[in-house]
Amino acid sequence: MKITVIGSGKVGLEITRRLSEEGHDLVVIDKEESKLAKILENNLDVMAMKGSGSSAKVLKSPEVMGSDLLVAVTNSDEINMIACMMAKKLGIPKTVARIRDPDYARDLVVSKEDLGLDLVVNPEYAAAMEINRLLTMALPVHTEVFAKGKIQMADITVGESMPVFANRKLKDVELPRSCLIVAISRRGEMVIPGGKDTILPGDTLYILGHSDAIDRVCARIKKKKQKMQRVLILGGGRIAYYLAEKLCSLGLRVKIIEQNQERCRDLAERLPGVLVLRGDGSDIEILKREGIKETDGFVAVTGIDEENLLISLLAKQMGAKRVVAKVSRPSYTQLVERLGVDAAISPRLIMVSEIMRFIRGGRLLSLFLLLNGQAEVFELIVQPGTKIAGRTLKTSGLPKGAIVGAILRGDEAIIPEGNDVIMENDRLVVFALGHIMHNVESLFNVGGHFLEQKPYHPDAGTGPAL
Amino acid sequence: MNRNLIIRTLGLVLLFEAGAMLPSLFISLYFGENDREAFLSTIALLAVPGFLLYLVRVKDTTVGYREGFAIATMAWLVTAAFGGIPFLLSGSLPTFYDAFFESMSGFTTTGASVFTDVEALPRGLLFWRSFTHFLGGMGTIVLILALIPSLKIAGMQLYKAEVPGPTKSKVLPRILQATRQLWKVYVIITAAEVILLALAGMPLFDSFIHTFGSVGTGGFSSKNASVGAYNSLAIEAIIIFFMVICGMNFALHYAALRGNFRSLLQDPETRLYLGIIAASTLLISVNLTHSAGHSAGDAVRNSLFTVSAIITTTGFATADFDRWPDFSRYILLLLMFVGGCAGSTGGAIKNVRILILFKSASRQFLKLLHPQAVVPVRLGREVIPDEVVDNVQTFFYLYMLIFLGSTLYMTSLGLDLITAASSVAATLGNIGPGLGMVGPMTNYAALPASGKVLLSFCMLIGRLEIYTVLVVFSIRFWRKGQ
Repeated sequence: MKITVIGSGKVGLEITRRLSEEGHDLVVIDKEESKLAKILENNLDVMAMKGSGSSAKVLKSPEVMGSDLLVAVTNSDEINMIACMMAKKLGIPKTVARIRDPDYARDLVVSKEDLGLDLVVNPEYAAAMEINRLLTMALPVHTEVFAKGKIQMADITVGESMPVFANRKLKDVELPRSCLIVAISRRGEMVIPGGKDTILPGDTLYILGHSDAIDRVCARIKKKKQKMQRVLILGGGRIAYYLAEKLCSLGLRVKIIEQNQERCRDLAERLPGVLVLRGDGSDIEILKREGIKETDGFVAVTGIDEENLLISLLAKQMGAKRVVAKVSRPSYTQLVERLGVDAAISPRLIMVSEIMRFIRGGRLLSLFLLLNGQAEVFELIVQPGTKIAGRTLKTSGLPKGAIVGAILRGDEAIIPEGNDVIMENDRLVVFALGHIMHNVESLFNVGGHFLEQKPYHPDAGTGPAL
Repeated sequence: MNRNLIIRTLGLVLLFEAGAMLPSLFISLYFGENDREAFLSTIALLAVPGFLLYLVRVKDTTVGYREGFAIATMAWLVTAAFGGIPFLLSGSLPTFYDAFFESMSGFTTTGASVFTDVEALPRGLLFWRSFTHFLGGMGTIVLILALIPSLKIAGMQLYKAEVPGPTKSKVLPRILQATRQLWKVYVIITAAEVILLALAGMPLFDSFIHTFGSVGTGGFSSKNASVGAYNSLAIEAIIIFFMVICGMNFALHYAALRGNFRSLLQDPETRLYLGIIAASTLLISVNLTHSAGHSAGDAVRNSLFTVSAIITTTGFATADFDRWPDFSRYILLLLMFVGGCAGSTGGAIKNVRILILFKSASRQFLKLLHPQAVVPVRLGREVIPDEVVDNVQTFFYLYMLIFLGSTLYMTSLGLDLITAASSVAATLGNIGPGLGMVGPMTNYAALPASGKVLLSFCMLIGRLEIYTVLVVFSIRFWRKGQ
């Protein structure tokens, strides 16, 4: 597939890299030569073009003409929108735009199609939804619904006081028959477990199964009901805005600490239920005064990775129960969770995965991202004539790192074992690690095709425009 | 200061007033009563100088802050002064300050009277008295500008000076368009009330009088016993409805007439206003039945009418509420300070200011607990800018200061405390009847002359919402080169 990427900032670069690795032909356009030079530094085999992405001259150039997809991820919402609109008019079938301004994002609810945008990604919104999920989930359980409610996935963070799971081998864990532990997240890394693996305290288990079975598992654990009630957000950027709005609507009490007076006013005016405080978040006094001890959730989303990290650690030490930090640089993310911060969020990575998901698109019905896109859970329908149809799971050739968690046949939901057969028109709930996604796709023959259906899960952080 | 502009505008105001007196003259001619000459002479007195002043040449037609305040204050003073002349010339009132008081009371829609027997007045004068309510209710200066757009005087400053409320919501982008639309709403409401009252059995002439009294939230009646004289439930219900309607924001009525009822129903100020009416009616009814032995039906009927008449600052009466128990009288005194809504024809502090004051107080508490909190004051979803909050707080302070100071002066004239305090509250808030000597079944005739003059100014200050008048009397206003 031929793809044009406009804007080769950090996001653009990451997308270019991932798409190029997956074998697509890429044209990258940027106004600044220095940014294009970075592509060359990264040894990417793509075509770099200097020019304005919103000019017809560039979009009509032979290099760009004939693209199947245009991804506009410059810093400017307006340029991204205009580029997509023009591209659509010039005959590029699919467009993706990054749009970050909350006001635009909301208006797009009515006019996304009119503007010729197929996907609108809003990294801050997606990050906020992810943080919201992290905060409200896993205390101790959080569930996500698939297959029209028949199948659920629960993520359970294992504590010392959970004898059902803690320090047991996987094969010894007693679970209802129609449940499956599909993955374990340990210190920020996602692993697909085998029967001999031991569950350690601090692990997060992802369990897929029939809804009623999952409810039973959750009920067993949910003895000590911890509830998220107070959330303190450090930094008043867009993530804070979206997050506070979401948490407020869920009935939580939210405080935002922000340094800039203007920004404070703006937030206070837009968010009636939120207490906005003006102050320096690295000042321990203000954290103490605002009751960091009684805070259930602490979220650091200032513009500086290091500050977010350090203050999150500090907050954790001072008694905040759950701590999430925004860390833009991907290289930090894994380290962070080892340090004691509960979760690290990278808006950039989330957005890249979102765009990747759209590009892979195909026959996925609903999709759900875990841990910054390290793993994905998706639903797909087995099309007639695909390689896998008619085989048992054992012989299906499904790579390691991917699990079929459930099969829906008609109205029946099956939690499959090795000998179950996959049939045409089955609906599968598949769990796969991010890096083997394209193997899975080729197996189901879904890569590279676009369907009219929107292939993403509406709750999985695709932006308010969806 | 653009002196010529002010003079020319005043000339226009005089001409307009001469025109406004014509209906009263026709009524006087129709009924053949003895106030004919009084009107004829007054119209001449208005028209000649008005025409001369209007001839003054104006090069620059921009109305600055100063011109706006000066025109508003002077125009109201001049209008009131000339408006009293028919009373003087016809011999109905003995002195100029009585006439000035009565006329000011009419234009500011106060409804406080110095006539001891209104039923003896000729109908031309009665009509004029009430017609001033109608004119003063929506504000006349902006109306003049709206009617004669060829003047090209930008009216924003005048609009600000004349339309009550801390924030001026315009229903249309241009002031003059907005004014015309609001006047249209006003005229529609007026016509509806005249028709309904006539249908309910009130004589047509009286219907006009009481309609002007209620839509302007003024309160002049053609009967000594006010609305109580008709003793008709239907008439009272109609008048209650229209008083309450006219105590609401006309911009919201404009929206409602165009099909948008939601903004009226969801307006926090309207809700507070209706809530206060309901709560006060309930409290007073209970008080009347339990402590004063009224029957439940009478208690509800009279208390609802009186509460509506007082909070909308109309001042009609169906019962002598001065003889009610102290608890009820005190509630009424408090209502005199609350008043109607911003953008209505009502007076006093207004519900929106009360709301903002409470919100601002609760913000203070929050700020004590969280010194670094940034909290805007909100009405519903709308954010009130801090300047407006300051403006409202100062307004309240000045309002109370004027009330306290004027009451002090009234007591120095030998009046009892209740009369002194309620007379000031009732004139500053443009209500009309107070308590004690100035209660609903008596009038202001017995007050000393200087007291009447002070109360006349209270009416003006209250109608133009304090700042406009006070700033004209400040030294800084007249200092040159500023």
